[in-house]
Amino acid sequence: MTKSMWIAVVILALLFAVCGGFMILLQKDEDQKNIHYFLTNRKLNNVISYQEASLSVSDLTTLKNVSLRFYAFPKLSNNIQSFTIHEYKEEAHIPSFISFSARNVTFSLMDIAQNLKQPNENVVDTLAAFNPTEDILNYPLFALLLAGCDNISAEIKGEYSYMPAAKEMSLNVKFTDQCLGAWDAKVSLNNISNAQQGQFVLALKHFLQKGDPLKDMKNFLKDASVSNFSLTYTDSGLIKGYKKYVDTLYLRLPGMPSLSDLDAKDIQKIVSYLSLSNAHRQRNADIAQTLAQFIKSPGTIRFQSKNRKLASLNALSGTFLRQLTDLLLRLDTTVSLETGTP
Amino acid sequence: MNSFFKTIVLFFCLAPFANAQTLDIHTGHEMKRIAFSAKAGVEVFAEASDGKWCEDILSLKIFAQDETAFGDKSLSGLMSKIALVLNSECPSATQAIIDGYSSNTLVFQGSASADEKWKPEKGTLKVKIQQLQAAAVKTSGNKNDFSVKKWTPPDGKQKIVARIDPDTALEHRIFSKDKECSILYTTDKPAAKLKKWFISVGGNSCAENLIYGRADVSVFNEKGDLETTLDGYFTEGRFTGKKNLNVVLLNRYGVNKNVQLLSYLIDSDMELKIHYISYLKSQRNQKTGFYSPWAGCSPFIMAAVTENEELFLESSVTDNILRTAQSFADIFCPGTTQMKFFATKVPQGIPGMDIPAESSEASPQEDTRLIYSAILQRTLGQKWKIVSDKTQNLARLRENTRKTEDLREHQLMMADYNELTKTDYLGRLAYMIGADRIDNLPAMLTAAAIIKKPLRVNLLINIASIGLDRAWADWPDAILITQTSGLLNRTGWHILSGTLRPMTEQEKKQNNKTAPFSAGVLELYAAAACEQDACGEVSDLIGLIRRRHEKPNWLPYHAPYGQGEINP
Repeated sequence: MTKSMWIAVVILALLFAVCGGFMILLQKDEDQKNIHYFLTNRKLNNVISYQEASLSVSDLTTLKNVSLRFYAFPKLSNNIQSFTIHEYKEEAHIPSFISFSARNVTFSLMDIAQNLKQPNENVVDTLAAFNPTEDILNYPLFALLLAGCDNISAEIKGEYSYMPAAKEMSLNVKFTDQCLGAWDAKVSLNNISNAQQGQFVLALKHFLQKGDPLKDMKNFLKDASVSNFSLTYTDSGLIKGYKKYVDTLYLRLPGMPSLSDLDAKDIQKIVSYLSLSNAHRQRNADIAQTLAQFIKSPGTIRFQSKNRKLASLNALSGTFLRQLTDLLLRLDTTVSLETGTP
Repeated sequence: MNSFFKTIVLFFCLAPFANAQTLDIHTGHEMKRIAFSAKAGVEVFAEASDGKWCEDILSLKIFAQDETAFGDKSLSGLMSKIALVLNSECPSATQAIIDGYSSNTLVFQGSASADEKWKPEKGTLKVKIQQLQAAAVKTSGNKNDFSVKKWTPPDGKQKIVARIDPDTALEHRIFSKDKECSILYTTDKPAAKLKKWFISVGGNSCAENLIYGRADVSVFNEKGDLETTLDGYFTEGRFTGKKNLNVVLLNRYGVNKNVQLLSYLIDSDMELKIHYISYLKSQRNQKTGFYSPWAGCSPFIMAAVTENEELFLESSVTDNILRTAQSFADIFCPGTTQMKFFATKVPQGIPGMDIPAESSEASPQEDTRLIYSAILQRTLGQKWKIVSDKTQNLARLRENTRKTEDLREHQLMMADYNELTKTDYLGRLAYMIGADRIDNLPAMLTAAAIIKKPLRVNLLINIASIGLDRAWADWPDAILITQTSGLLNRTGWHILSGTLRPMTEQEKKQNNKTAPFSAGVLELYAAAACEQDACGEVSDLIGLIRRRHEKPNWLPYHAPYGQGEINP
């Protein structure tokens, strides 16, 4: 190859490089426009803000330094270092699969409690008369605060899949935080129509915009059944912190054993409670024993429903705790402790 | 003759009084058997002292083989026969306290009185009178000396000089020219002028520089002019007109310019702890400006000064004291027809009694120093009668009020008891300090953080260390306590009240605190120290209620066996 040919090759390469760079810049600008269009089209541009967005060749969409403005708590400060949509599929314009992850999701539980704007007297009275067992579900936020959790810095991963023909939806969420611990929840919901799926999307949207997400969720779950449920929780201080609070509540003096551990009487109470939902006393006793063991030495606990077991949500009634208990027992859920860190 | 009369005849025939035997029963008192009936199975003893059993108030012990002897009918019959014995052998007896025993067990308590023809009355009221009188004797170690609210009259054996209140007593000492004699003269004229006044004395030897007894005294003013003549009797230099009073003067005081007073001791009852005091008055003549001679018989004013308010709770004791007062009226003012009697805890200064009432609206009932008051009148030769509708037994009124209050408090304490039996440990702690609740530190710190304001709290806390105006707790958590001066003086368990807030970021850094809701500051305003770890003393429910109500001997109805016993 002559010298002039080499020069021509170099010039061509430079031209390609310049064109390529120019195209990347154009693409990036296009990505920004697309995402902005997506948010504006769904009227979310005022409630979701981000610093940077990117769409990779492999269809990864990443937003960086995202913050959300919740409708109920417009002043709640929060930040997501990066939010990535790993995969997105649609079937007849209905999202059929979404895989996402959020890195370093930060917010303050105290900030949420302050943004609830309850009258001061109610806050004080509720906390002064806080029942350490019943009120965990009635006032979960206060329970977390009493356990000593405040600033959350979590990693979240999630998968959503929906098969319109089969009317089946699967959800899987993994949540990990220094204080709240590691949660891994999976569930399949059956008999979910297209309209109900829409209610689910609406519920998510109504966390950010005006609306009633609880009502949407209720509509979403109407006539639904649950199967393939599993929940794995690994404690990293939440239980210990809550036990410390319970010990102060029951005046545990120095040198005395913890008063928050479950004794035989407490275990018997749990067995009796479970037995109202299902008369299988031996299994109920095993569950209660496992719970007691977990509270005594918090590690990893796993709730796993039996394969192919299905439980209709319409069949459940009573308080939230009773409905939850009924659901788990109808699904033949086993409770087990796992050794070692996940 | 039916069997009943046979029994009675036998009873009294076989019990000749002169041959009465003595018995020393477990009470430790000497007893004289005054009657018995072998057939009826009854023996009657009277309590004796130094071999003498016949007193105004008798103490009778009746021992019967059968408890039916103390039935209404049987006992009335028995007492009517004992009355015959008493009328002949002890006519001075007016009351009897009756204790009835069967099989060495006290089965009857009651009383009888001559006024009621010795009809037995079941109950312990009369017993109480005697006990009161006995208790009064026991209240003082020295039988011959006692004080009332730290006041005691001067010893009568020594020379008595009335204590003069210089602020209220318009009294000046005026000497004769040779300074051998003097009088104590009441006038509102300036003291500077009175220094130049003098007296001339006729018919008196002027012992110890003061005129006593009969004298004819002329009083001359600073110009040498005759001011007045005092012809009559003198007591310790004070002119009493035609009345010759040989008494122990106590205090000389006045209320205002127009009323001047002088108290004197009549008697001291060492057994009942009463000083009987009367008063002399000297009143200013508005027209002449002169003061009257000291007078105390119209009316005769008399006070029973005592701390023993309980004496006036029983009518019979009050009557006895009134009879004593009447006797003194006869001695000191034989011709007087009106007497004002009052019982008090102080020797002078009761409005409406020794001094004029402060206002017509003032109620003597409000004066806690006054125990009893009565106005008595008589026509000459007749008995004294209480006439005033203002007569009030304030002691009894107060006792009734106190009993009502006691009952009310007992009801409140019972309500507390019933409530506390259902209350948890924290509830009892709250009751101990009179608070609504004992708070939980993490819960209140969380609440304070949410509402962004300090909260008033009551906390059970173990103080680990005390510094200058601050302390650190180690339970329920290591929190800082400020403004401790004067409230905390030792480490250990306390119930603290104050305002609680989370530490600021700077305070957290200073004190090396990282946990979000255990870093608190309690600004202290009250502290109660526990006696036991974690105030474990509240487990003693009765003790807790007793301390709260300051009733150390209180017991609830149906207290469980062994609870509330007072250890000596």
